[in-house]
Amino acid sequence: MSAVVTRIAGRDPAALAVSAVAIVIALLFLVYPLVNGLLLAFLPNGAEIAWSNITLANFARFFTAGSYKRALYNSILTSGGATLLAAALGIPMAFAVARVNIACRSLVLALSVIPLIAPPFIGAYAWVMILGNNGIITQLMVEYLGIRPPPIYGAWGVTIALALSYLPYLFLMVQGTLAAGDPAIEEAACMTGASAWRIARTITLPLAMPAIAAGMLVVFIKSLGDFGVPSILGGEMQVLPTLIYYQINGFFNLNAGAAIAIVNVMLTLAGLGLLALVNRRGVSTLTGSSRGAVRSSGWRARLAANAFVWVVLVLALLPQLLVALYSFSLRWGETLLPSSYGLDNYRDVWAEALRTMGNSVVLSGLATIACVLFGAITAYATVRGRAVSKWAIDLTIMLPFVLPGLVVGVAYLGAFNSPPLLLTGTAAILVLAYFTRRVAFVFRSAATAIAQIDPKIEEASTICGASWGFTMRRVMVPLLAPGLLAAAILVFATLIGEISATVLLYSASWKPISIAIYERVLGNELARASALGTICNVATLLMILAGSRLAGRSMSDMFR
Amino acid sequence: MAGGLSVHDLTKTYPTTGGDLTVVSGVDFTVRPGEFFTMLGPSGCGKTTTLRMIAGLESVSGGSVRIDGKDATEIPARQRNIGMVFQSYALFPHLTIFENVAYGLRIRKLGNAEIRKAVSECLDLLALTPLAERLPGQLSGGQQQRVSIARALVYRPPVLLLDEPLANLDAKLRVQMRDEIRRVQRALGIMVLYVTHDQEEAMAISDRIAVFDRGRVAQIGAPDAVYDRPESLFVADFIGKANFLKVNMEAAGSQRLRLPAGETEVPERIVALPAHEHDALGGGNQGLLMVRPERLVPADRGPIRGSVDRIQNLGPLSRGFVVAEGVDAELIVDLPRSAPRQLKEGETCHFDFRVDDATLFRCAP
Repeated sequence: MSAVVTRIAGRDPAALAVSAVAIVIALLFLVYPLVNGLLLAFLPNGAEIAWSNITLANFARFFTAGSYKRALYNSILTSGGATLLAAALGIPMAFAVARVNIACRSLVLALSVIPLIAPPFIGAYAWVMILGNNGIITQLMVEYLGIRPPPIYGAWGVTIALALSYLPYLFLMVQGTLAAGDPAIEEAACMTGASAWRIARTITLPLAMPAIAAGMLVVFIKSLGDFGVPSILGGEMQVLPTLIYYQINGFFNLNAGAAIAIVNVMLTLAGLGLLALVNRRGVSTLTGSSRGAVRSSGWRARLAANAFVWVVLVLALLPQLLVALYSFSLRWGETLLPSSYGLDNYRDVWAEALRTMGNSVVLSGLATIACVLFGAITAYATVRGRAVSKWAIDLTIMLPFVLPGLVVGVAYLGAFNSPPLLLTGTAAILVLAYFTRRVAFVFRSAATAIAQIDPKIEEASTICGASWGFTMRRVMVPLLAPGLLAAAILVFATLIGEISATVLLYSASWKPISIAIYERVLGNELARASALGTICNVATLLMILAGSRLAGRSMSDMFR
Repeated sequence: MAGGLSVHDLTKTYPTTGGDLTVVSGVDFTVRPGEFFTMLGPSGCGKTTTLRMIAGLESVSGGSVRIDGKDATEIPARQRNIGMVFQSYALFPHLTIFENVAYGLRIRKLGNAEIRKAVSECLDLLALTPLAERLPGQLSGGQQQRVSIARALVYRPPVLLLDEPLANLDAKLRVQMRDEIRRVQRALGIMVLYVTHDQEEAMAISDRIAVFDRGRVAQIGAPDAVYDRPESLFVADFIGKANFLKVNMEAAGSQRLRLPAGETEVPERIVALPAHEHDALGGGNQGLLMVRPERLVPADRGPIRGSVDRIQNLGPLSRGFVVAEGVDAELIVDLPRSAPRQLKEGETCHFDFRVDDATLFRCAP
């Protein structure tokens, strides 16, 4: 890394100091907790770190204990199922939006983002109201079709909730690629005499394949790491993240938790490996056209596309709509819809909402600032530096990106529970864990933005006589500001609803709103949980809207 | 020379796994005050690397750079007080044209009144005054290039470096802009170091040209000199068009040269080729005679005989491609379209040239 430092910083003391601080932070808060967590997995519960204590016992349970085996199986089943379901709904929807002249395109794109803004666990229990024993759709199906859907608690419900929560990632990626495709490629195929179906099968689909694969991977990784949805909808069923949680919170066995975390990460890495396999024959032809994709406007295609898009949208938004509806309900018994409405729920939770939302804003805000500062600086070093150790920075920062929240939680519990780094129970540990979870995202956005700025612009500034600091202040920061702002808002908004790292690390004095909602769901105070959830959703949505205005981007663009 | 710019034995090597890669080696030249000096060569010949070493943007592996009589080799780029114009313009997209131009003055901490005055003068000089409040994105390529020149000139650097400044412009604008650059250079009397791969551009605006070949300077001279008196095959071939005829030196004694269709005198200008070009002569006591296309004229009698394969109309010129007898080469013959004698496709005729217009390349003089 020192080679990088000298390369970018030259002899400028300001640049050297900034780079040195970045390296220390990376070692202390990214490398150390993860390496420490890795070591913990090979130790018996509570043992000191020493050669003589090393054991594989924590991993052996995946072969001996039924609960471990089942959790591993369930994780693969629900995440894989959610990925396939999301693909089945998201890919046709992407085709419909990108290639058919549908109505209200920008509204569709804006609405499609909402499931990403609303934390999945808030919507999870809404599925009980939809497909549970007395759920709306269950009631309708029993009455009109005479079919009873499978019980919502368990693999089936978790799979549906995960798929519809993370589907927008896949949809937006594939839609973006299809919409940006150079129509000349398909026109060329058409001129050779290929039929529309043949073009779709042999040209369009293969060219969109990298985006489809990447989108499916995101859904898979997100589902694999999700704690909120399976903990609420899983019922008796355990998956790896919930297993980690119960090992740590039920049996206080951090070492077992670390071992499960490693298995969880291995699954994620296997997904990444699959993606690399798919993308081995890298093609990058779907960019660089000034013309947009040609959109079909036949009435049959339009009718089918519109209908499909809205069915998926309604399905994906239904949970959040029900949460909002429930928050105003006073009684919701055996009826299809609530029987009386009022603001009582809001009155009950208002004080708590203000306090916990305030906590969330402070914790997420500080983490976001840290992410932006650190992410931007390291991205600059990586993009502009030409040193060999670039991959080391890349790896250090990108690794937490594939780590589920609970894994980060475990790593932090293990790393910072003794002096001199005693952070457990403080607000700082949450801020740092949030930072660890989101810095990769900011890093990636910043790296893309920096790569788009001609390095000659910096050289021009230097030639004019500017120091490194002056160039950063007057040229680079103003140029990067819109991109960084968009990334910052996204990080901030998604941290407000973060639960999987939070649930292991929070303390009563700094309880964030996500935990407040989660506690009420577990306590079966669903109406009040809905009120809190709706406040959280609306506040987050408003912040993203305001932010996208400031950054001058559409909401759907910010998530790509 | 005081006030000038000189590089001495300038070298750049990059360490690679298979040993060091030398991209610039032993470059020597001096630019005089007020001179328009061009580094010309094909892409990858090291001319841009040389320019960037002079600017301080690239570290120097060996040799030295002197600016205004002072050794600048170890001075950081920002302290060299040089003006530089980039191929991609590299304007600051978030600053107005005025602020782009004022940038260097703000660093030099001038007062607001002074900045306004200096920037206005500079904008005037480049006819940019009406655009002062626009952003770079709202300007055409030619206008952006003028802004980038203004930005480099405003703090009155002793030397202006230009790195392929016209490469991104269309043909017509390119010709217009190069005249403009020359005009501004004369008006300010500033020393200019210019990089281009376009030999016509270099010929049109330079006081002197350094022709680069694979990291070395092949020849330095005024445009006339490098065109009329090339010192290597590379220069003869790279600058303009050239016809090469293999001649046997022994066949007709020392005073005459034998060509397939006749004899000619030995030209006065005989150039000993650099060692790495000896292979082109093909061993024995061979020589290569170089004649520019516009120096070949159709005649009733002459040392070259060939049939006209095809003719291209280039506007002022008509260019004939002639398959010469006894020479395995296609010759190019350029005739003004106003000339009384024109070529016809398919015709066979003789071609003559004045011996003063030819250069003879040999291994040793």
